[in-house]
Amino acid sequence: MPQPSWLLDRRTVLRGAGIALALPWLESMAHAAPAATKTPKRFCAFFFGNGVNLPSPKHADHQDWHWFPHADGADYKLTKSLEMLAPHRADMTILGGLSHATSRQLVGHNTVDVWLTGADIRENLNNSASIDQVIARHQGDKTRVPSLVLSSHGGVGTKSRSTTIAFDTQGRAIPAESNPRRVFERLFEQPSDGDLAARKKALTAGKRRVDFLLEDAKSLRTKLGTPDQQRLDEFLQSLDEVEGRVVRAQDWLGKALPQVDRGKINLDVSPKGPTDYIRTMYDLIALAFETDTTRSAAYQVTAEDGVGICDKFPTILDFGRKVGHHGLSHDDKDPTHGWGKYDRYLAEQFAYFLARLAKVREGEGRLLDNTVALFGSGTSTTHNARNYPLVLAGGKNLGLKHGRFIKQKAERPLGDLFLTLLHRFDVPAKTFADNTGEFREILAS
Amino acid sequence: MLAALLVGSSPTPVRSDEATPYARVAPILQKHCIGCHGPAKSKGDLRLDKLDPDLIKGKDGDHWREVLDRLNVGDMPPAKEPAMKKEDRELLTNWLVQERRKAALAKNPPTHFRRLTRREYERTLQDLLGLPIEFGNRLPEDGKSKNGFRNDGDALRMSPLQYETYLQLADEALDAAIVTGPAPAVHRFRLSGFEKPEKFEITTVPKPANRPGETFEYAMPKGKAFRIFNSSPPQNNKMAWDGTLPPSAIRRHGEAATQLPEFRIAVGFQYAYRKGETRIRVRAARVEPPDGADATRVPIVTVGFGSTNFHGVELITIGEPQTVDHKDYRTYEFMVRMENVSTPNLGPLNDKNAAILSVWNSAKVVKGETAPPRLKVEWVEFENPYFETWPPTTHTSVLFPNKDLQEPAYAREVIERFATRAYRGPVTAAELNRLMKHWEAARKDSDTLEGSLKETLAVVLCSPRFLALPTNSANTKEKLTDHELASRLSYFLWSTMPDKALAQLADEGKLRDPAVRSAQIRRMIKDAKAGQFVEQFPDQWLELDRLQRVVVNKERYPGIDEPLLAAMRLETIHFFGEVLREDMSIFQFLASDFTCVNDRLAAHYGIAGVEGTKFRKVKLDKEHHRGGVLTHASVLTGNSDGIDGHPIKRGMWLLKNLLDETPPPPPPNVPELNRDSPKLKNLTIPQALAAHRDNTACVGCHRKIDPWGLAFEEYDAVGNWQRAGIGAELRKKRTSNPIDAMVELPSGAKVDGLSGLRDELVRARADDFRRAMLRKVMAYALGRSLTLRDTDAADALVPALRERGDKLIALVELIAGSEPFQSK
Repeated sequence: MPQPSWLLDRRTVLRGAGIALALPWLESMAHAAPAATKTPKRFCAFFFGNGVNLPSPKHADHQDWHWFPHADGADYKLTKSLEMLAPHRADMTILGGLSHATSRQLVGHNTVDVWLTGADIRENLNNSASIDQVIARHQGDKTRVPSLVLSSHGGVGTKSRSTTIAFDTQGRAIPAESNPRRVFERLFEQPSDGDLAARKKALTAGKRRVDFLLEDAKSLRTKLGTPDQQRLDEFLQSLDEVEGRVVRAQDWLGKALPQVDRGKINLDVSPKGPTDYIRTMYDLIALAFETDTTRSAAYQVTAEDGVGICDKFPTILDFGRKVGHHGLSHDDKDPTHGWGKYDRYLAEQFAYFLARLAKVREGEGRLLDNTVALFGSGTSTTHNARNYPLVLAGGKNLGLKHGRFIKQKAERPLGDLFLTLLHRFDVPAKTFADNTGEFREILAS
Repeated sequence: MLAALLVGSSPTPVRSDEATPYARVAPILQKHCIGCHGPAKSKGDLRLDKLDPDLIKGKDGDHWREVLDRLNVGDMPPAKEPAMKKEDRELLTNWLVQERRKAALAKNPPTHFRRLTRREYERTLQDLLGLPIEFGNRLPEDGKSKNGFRNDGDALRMSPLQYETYLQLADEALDAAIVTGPAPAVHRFRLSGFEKPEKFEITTVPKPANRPGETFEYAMPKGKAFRIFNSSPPQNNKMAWDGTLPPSAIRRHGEAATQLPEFRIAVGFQYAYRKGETRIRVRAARVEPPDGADATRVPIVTVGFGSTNFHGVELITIGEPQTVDHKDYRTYEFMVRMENVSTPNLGPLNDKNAAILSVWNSAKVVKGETAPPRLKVEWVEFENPYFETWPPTTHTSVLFPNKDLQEPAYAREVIERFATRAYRGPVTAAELNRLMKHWEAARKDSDTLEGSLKETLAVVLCSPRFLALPTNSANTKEKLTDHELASRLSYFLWSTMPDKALAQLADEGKLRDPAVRSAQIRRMIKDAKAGQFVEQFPDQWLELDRLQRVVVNKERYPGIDEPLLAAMRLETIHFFGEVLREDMSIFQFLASDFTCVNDRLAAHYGIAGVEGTKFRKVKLDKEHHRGGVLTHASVLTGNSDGIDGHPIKRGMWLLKNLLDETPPPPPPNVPELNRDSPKLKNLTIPQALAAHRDNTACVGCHRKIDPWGLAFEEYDAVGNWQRAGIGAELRKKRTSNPIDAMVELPSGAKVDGLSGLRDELVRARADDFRRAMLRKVMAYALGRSLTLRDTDAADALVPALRERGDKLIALVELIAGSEPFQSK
């Protein structure tokens, strides 16, 4: 019997599986030179599948169980769906009317693949970089782990129903880690001697290569005329940056790990107990941020459609009929007690995360003020890839202004928001996916 | 006027050897100009006594330009002042033109260092390693420069992301080429029994006697390792499934993927074959056609490979589909690199995440055909990885068999041979020593010789010496070295590195011999690799990418779909290829009595008797109203707005690409011509344009643009001839205005429609067209925006081109023999 070729080889495991362990140039690393003592800026995104319960105005439950609040602006009224987020009102904005334009005609389940990328997948399933990876590439080498990619199901899944929401700069799905214990070990515990040696060797080889090339380019430079030198200088600058990344990755190998007490976190969880499991995943991200082990995280809380064990979460939790998350989203008979309650449940877990970040002091403010957190789905109701339900929270120190429900008169590209967020992370991007402008209304000034 | 002087259409060039010194000019300015533009008065805020006469370092270039303009227009000095003597005026203008040229040369010095384009990189890597892997898709897309060429160094930037991708690709490419250890086990199996689901069988193919690599034994209850996606008896289809394949096509699927052809043999694998060369063999025959069936209809065996996803499949056709016109079974072979197809996601494989292989009959589907041409398949064989020998030739061509060399001596030889090819020229001793030092360090850290060599060869593949052109910059003289010349020729016509023959001629220093070079050019054009020039040059010269940006109105033009748009582009490319390979005159581009079409485009043009998707040369008759690129649907559609032809775009396109007289861009804040404005509603297009230009400050330029474009009026937004047939019918639905294609060109010549326009171009603008073509080919050949010196050199070739009958190969030879081509 042949070895199934889908088994990941060693290198793939090192590269992927949730934590990009910064091989020399293979994965996301920083783009700019590090700015020494500034307060770190973090980004995290949390996805759930199948949209949310939005009973029509005629429906008896419209008043209480419509995910989007009633009335917009600062005086919006939360329904029971998002009620648990009420304590964070001043730290969050609810966004309506945003979606990726090229996906609006697709059956909504596909948007899981493009939720953070905005790629056009109408013709084929070639994806592009997700916003968390763009940010990780820009500032990822300032931390030991460039980015954290998690999902409750794990892995990559099937194209168009991916079980990861992160895609690298070449548009390839990044396998997500689902085992909290492994996440903890990779984040906070010394790798095995073998792993460490392999990484050291890879980085040494990387450094050797880049150094050689730099010297190569420099000796070539002396032989060129001025206009040609200017072109070669782009080679030199690029190589310089690559070298910087390799060196910083090497530096991380020698640095002491943050002291995190295993007892402080409940790793004895599994998706069979969804609440503990989801909270532990949130805890891990909060810890990773708090210790400045990473500054970028993407967590697919639940997958799209009926994919994976996470589809069974509402069944395990006994919300509504036992038909799974996707089933609930099609349950016309009693959407509220199943779907609506589950919406509320997922928002409650996110509120838990925000509360954690709000408790940690950092510099003049709170960890939450230095963290931008996006929570939402890629469809409004199931199969409807418009008006994504989205909550944007935190990031006051990055210049974000909160406290409102911002609706749109007409459907607007989510890329607008992503571009504005990228700029808050000092990424000099000019566009993101199919954006048509920026989203300045989220800014304080 | 000034622009005209600079682009060289002026009959009085200022290229005399004696330069005019400023000292001779100053007194003339003093005598005629300073009175009004000096210390006493400064009319129009202009003081000539204060202008810096150094146009290179000074900042007054724009003011001097104004002076030249006024002198040329003739309104300075004003009529009431004493007239300037003719010689003085000439002296002054000569000085101005001469200084402006000097400044232009100084400010726009020639560059020769540029990185390879994505395509060149991919093809070079493929040729160097003998690996047909599509590496280029992984790199960011290249930019396009002002002149429209994608190989222009100005637009080929480098970034850390790009460099990291090179570093990564170098490792992957070498991992694919160079192997370690014994031959791996090979997946070899045969699928058969297609006539009924219960007869379907998968059997292991035993290892052939003389071939390395063990065959896997499959312990397979069949459903486990494979999933059958063969067509099952279609429920709503009267044709019952008997295992034979009537014509069928990959179907578009509205959900981010395609669907398998309706009639197919298809198998999903619960193993994913992600890498390596793969061979698929199909044993196929045609089903004997019943009496009276259309004899011209033949089945075509086609193989696709890809992966399934949640909705359908991502499938690409591999190899060339083959016509099957025999009733006995014969074997067809299809090769594919797994790296080039969509593979399933990493992770557990299932029906919706599997590799998939499909065989079908891609003959054209004819609705309601009673006896379609049917294909029958006896078996399909799969083999991955496929190799004839172990180690494979990709390995031995780099790590040649070592007889008796010590390890360092062997490594040195391997590295030198490889770097010499990769750098497209000799490697200096110093370079080789540095590479050896790198290898020695790598060898200390590496468990295997192969591993350490791969590390060092990866360095070679990431060096600017490999990634950029030309590479032998050790030479600081003006002339290219022989190897650089070989490279320039090779990237010009092949978009890849020189082959053995070219490299050898460079070694022998023979490429400077015009006869040798000419023979090489002819050889290169005959080679299939010249398809790169044939595709890329016309595509970029004639801006065929405009086709992708036009959204054709589906209601106005039903039946215009992606395959037809693709065929439009290919017509122009095949047409260019025909002119090149048959060494015809470049004036065929303006007017020809043939074109190249496939079935779809022939139907679009109303040309009868063209079957099949292959492009072929067809003769054009008068009633087709076609001939030359001006009438190509690619050009007509690309320069439309999707509803109507767009005279301004078409006029601009013609001036820019066929005459190289690009009009300046419109001033800012000029509104687009709004065809829905009530004022314009009842006007014909010429009338509307006239109203537009007369109402604004645009008249100066548009007088030069619009007439050219208006002459295209007989062709609609998708290239239909509008005076008769389908074009006329479609037009009736849009407008009742008569077609008005009678125009007066800026020269005063009156022409009627495109046929008149083409005649006029050939009659009155022949040299301008020659010059434009020479410049365009020169820019592509050099991979840079032309400097004034380059442009002069191209222009100087006009008489030679004329003498050589305007043949396209002659043009290529002239460019290759020109001074800029041979110099840095």
